Amino acid sequence: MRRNHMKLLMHHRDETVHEGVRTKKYSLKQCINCHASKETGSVTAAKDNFCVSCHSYAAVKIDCFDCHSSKPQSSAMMHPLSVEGAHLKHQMAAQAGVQVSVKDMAAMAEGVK
Amino acid sequence: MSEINKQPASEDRRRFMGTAAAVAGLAIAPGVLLYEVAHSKSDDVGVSNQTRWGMLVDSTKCATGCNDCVTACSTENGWQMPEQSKHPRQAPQWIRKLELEDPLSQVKTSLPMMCQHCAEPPCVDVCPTGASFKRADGIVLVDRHICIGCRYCMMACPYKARSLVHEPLNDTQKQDVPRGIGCVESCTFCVQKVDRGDGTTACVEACTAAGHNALVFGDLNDAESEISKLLRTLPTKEVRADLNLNLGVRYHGI
Repeated sequence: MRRNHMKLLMHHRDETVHEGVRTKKYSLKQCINCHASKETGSVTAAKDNFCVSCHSYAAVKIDCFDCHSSKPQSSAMMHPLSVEGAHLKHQMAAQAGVQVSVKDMAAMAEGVK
Repeated sequence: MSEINKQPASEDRRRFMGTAAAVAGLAIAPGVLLYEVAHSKSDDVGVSNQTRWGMLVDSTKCATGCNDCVTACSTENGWQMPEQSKHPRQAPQWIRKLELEDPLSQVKTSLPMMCQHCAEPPCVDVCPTGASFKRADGIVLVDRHICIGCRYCMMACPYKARSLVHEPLNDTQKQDVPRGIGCVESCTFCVQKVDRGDGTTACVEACTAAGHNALVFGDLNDAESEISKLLRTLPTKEVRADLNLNLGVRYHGI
């Protein structure tokens, strides 16, 4: 994903703009909903935010957010599994020093809702 | 694994694949199945030309001084009303209200003017990069990824429907409507709403909510849609019909 995300985004953007495919899989909006920082609510606002953290290290200018909004419209739109669930997963794994299965994560996401 | 890869496909396997393909072909063969697929657009299938989106503007119902369609468009799509802009003459405007008066009879007409979503769009003809395009379902759009902001399309459009974004927007865009400095833009028939399956646009919703019912949006290819029925009963005109552009927006009472 790190190496090829630009190809994926390029491919999906054409299908979205020209053919109107706007499912979660094809949606930059969905990427942002999950990856936006809890503090700034954005993927680009601070140095350690999702997109900028790599792009500044690799010195690659990022043009997407000249036009696209870098923020989810509301925090309620953030994906419960990735925002809360992912943090819980890391916490739990760190505490117990064990692998967490997908089933456990799903169960936690249910609990979070 | 490597040993298997070196083997050419056996005769048996080839025969089997051939039969399998033939069976699959038979399953699709009755035209009914394909027809069904084309008509029920599932979310991850692209738009098709089975649909052609269009709008009917009944200017006899359009209220003078009412600006609801314009404000609704501005709210939905995140462009600023020209009055609020520092440079109102160059501020982007996707839809505008016109008040016309016949010099002889002094009859006043009020109507909204926006992209007419031509079937033969001049903006697409002149675009040097292919950014200006018509979607299969008749919606004329700008692919901002490709637009270089040359504004040929603005010159070519007979309806003055397009505008260029002159100022940086500083992350004030709506999440569903990306727009940015240096790109041309115009009415999109609220493409984000259409793709979501709302089957209506912000301006139509506002006009209906205000009780005027001057705007009707729908599928021109579907004989049973409200707009098609109205088009069969009301006399309507295309603006600048002499250009033979086959417009998606029709006006009644002009």
